[in-house]
Amino acid sequence: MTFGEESKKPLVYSVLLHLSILAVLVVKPYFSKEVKPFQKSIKVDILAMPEKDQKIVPILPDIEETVEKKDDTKKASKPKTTPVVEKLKTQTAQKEAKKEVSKKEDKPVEAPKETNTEMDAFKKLNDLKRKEKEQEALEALKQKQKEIKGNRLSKGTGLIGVEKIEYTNYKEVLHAAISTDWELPKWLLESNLQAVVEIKIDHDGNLVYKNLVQSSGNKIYDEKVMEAIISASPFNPPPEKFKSIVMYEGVVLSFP
Amino acid sequence: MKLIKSLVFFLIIFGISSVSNAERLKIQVGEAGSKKSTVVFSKPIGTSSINMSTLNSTITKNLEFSTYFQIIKNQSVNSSNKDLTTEASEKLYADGIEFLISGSTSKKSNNSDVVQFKVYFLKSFKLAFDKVYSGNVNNIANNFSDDFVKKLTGKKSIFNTKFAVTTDKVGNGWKEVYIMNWDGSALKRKSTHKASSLSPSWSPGGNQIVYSSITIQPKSGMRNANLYVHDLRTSKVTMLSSRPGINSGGSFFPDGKSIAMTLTQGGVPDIFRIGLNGSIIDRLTKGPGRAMNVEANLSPDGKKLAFSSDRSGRPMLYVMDINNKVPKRLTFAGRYNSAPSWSPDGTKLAFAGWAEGHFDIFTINVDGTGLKRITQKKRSNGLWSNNESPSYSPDGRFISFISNRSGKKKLYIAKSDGSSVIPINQGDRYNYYHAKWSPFLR
Repeated sequence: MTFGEESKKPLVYSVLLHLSILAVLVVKPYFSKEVKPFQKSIKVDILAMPEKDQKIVPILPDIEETVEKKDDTKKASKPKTTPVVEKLKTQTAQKEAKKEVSKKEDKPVEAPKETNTEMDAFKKLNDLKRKEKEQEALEALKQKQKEIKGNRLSKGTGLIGVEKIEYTNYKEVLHAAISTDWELPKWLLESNLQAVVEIKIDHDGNLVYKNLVQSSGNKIYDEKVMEAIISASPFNPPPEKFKSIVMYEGVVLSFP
Repeated sequence: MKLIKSLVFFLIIFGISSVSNAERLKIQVGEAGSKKSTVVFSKPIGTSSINMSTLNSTITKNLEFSTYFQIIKNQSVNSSNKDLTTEASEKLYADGIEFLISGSTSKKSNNSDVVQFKVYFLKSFKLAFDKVYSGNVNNIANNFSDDFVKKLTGKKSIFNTKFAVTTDKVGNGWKEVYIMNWDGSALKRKSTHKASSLSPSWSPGGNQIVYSSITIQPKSGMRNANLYVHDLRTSKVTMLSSRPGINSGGSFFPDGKSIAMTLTQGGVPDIFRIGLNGSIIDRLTKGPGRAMNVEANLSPDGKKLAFSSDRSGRPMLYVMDINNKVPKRLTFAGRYNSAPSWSPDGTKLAFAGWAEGHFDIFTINVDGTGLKRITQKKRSNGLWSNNESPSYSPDGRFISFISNRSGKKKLYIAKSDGSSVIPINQGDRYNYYHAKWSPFLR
């Protein structure tokens, strides 16, 4: 084993280890029952409004049209391109071959008859390259217009800091409210029954929707589950950031 | 290299997709609080020789023992032959009553007395239960209690179970085998050896009892701990094993066709499997050395054997797979652990452990975790009582044990966590030993 191979080994192990960790982190959520609260939220940068003297480049639809037209051109010219290039290559190869032959024979060389055709082909190739450059420029322009202040979408961010605390607190508030009224007759306590209910809470904390998603199979148990929820309502109003989530996405309650 | 690039790309895409689904708030509510359901009896109607007052009081005792119900005794509810009206139901429910039990007696065409019990679930104004019973008061009470609890929980109850037990009731220092109801009633003698009997145990169907008695060995004419089987259907008693030395600690296999027991082959007690004709089928333990292996107790599925052995120097509990016969030590704490009893689901064992100078009942998971003391009680003289011979109820909710906390050795029943201890047979002056809870008998 050479020194070079030995020095590469730790690097390979390191890469493999990191890939394994990444794979575990990615695959784990699919096998874990743990709920990841608010896995992604979208943050729109609307605080940074456009500056007063900022020039606004032409609006997007025009650019879209232009791009489409350019694309059409590109599409139209593309089929022709390949044969021309191939032809050029063939001709160049033939030319080179002829040069070699002429050198060996040491005779004056006549201009080939196809010169005009070659020039046309070069022109077409140059046109094609120019059009591609134009298209790239338009794409860059479109991207630039998207990224001006006040018109920029940033990547979603996880729930962190204060949001996380608010989330946890509200979850605990709901849990405490429901579990206070969650009571079963003793003869049902050892039954190992389970039920799942989906509820929706409006901005003021009112229970506006309840649905038994998974029945326990025991009517009395299901009734007790619903009783616990109804007795616990109205709930505390949800924090501002979660209002739409508890109202539209809902809350899933698993009993026990 | 291409492979690694593809892998990284795949993982990135996969990772992004895995976090892109926003989820709803999810809450695991947790275990519920619990309360006893309130029950009231209506005034019995009809005339017959059945004593409804005794019947209702026995049912009350049963239902209260179950820990599920609170019987409201001062409530007076009139009965009628018609079903309960909605108005009456609403009124009772408003008063905090959840179930109404209504009993009426009548005579059948053959002149036998019957009792019809109706149970109303007052919240929904529904007749939850309606059944006719016949027989003696005790049977009717136990059958009704069993049916009612089963209707609510979906599981059998202990109201129709019994105990096999030995007691010194006959005097002369003899201990004979008796059968009695779970509550100590209907005590019936089953052995007449005029000797000390020990370790009775039930067959899986509850039709037979295997036990040992120190009786005269036929060949030698000497007293010996011999193994007997008593068939409760025919009252036939068979001496199953009378080999010289110990023949004790019988435990039926689930098929009821063979028994694990202790024999002293070669002077050292070991556990064997014998057929109901007394022949040895298999030797289950051997040593090591001159170690004793006693108190065989088969798991409910018959695949594991719990026993006590002094192979480590002190008697400790071991669990062994019947097939590979490799024992695993279960208990390490205390000075002396004995009398293992399996929970019906086969996940736990109750046993008697000697610690701080007295025996107490402990439970432990079959994997050796979760050791828990469930008894500890001082006697009136300030000394710790001995609590021995644990036995799980067939529903797994209770554990019975023998304790001298009141002076005499008496039977007690506690919930399987040691709470709600109830004394059984306190009214007599006898000692009770080796109580074994029956399987479900109905």
